[in-house]
Amino acid sequence: MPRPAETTCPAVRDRLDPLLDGDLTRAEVSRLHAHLEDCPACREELRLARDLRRALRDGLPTLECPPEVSARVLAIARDEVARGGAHRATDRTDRREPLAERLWTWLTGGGLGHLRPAATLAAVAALLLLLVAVPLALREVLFPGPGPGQTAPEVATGSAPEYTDEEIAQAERQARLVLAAVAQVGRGAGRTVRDEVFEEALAQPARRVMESLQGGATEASGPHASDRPSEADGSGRRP
Amino acid sequence: MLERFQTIVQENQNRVYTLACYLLGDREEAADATQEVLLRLWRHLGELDTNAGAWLTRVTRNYCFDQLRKRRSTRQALGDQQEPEIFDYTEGDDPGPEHHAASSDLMRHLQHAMRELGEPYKSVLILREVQEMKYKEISEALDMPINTVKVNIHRGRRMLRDRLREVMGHATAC
Repeated sequence: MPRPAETTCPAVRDRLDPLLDGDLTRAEVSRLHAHLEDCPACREELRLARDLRRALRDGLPTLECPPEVSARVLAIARDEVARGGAHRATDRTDRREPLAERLWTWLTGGGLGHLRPAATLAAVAALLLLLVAVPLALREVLFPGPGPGQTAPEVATGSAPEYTDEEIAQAERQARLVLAAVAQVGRGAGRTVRDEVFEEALAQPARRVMESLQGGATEASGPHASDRPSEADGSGRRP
Repeated sequence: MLERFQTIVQENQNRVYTLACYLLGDREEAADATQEVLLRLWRHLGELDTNAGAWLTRVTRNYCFDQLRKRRSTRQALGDQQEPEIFDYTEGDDPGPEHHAASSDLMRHLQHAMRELGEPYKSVLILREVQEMKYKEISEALDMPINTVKVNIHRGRRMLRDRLREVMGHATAC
């Protein structure tokens, strides 16, 4: 007499994991046990399933996180709390606003929002200067042209320089390497430039200059210059 | 807020690190991933209304997938088709082979089979077998119906059984 469909070998093997997990009804368990008593191949499969579970638990243990990871994270959190920033509700890395919007938010809000409008303008001007001047300077260094009063050297005519296949392949590999490296570091470097280079190298000096200019103006015009906050509290600091 | 954060970090750091290790197959990258994920938790703690463990599992998994995608594209750009060495959890400070049988053939094959396993089978098996999470917890963490979780776990185990049958010294089933 043929076995019912749910007790054929393939059907039983499909139910072995639920059986080991205790997910089957009592009736299903009885049917499976009846089949297993008669079928050595399925008994072997059950043993294999049990052994695999044991191997997974023994062979893939829970790993211990290096203590410096949590120490660093907690130090950052404590530092933010101490600086009064407490805890930012959004993660800047998760933002998906358009670039222009993010730039504007950064300029007017979190990044330079604490600066006076004049200082913000100065910082933006410095950034634009950097964006224009640096590429021009690089171009001058990398592709020097004839200076004033000089004539351009004659370009050799005739056959173009020939490269071997190996040289071309090597150049291609190098270009790929550079592109990959740029892609890899781009995101982190962008953040570093924004947070550290721009803020520390441009925004802070610009702020100090503006403060000193405004302080100087007050000193020159006001009769009570000595009423200004002392240098000890940092607010009357000069560059 | 800081106290709550500290508690969650202490309770979940090993879980996050372990998942990252098995998904990325690299301890240093896993440590970086853990740091990044925990910092994201700190940034989002105020708005977190679900259980932190499930949230951390989901974010860790997504972060690791992003890293794997970047790694793949870097390798493609370099024209390097070779997979990195198989992750060996016995490196570092973990107990050696006398404590785990990882150096045995079976464990090496097991790690290799796990590595070769596709998604979502690999993730659900790590969460179930390594992290010993309940079906419901996995379902919440992966935002997957509980029955789908069960089916994926069973399929993943069957795939592993089929790959490890010979190594485990069992006769091929009928």
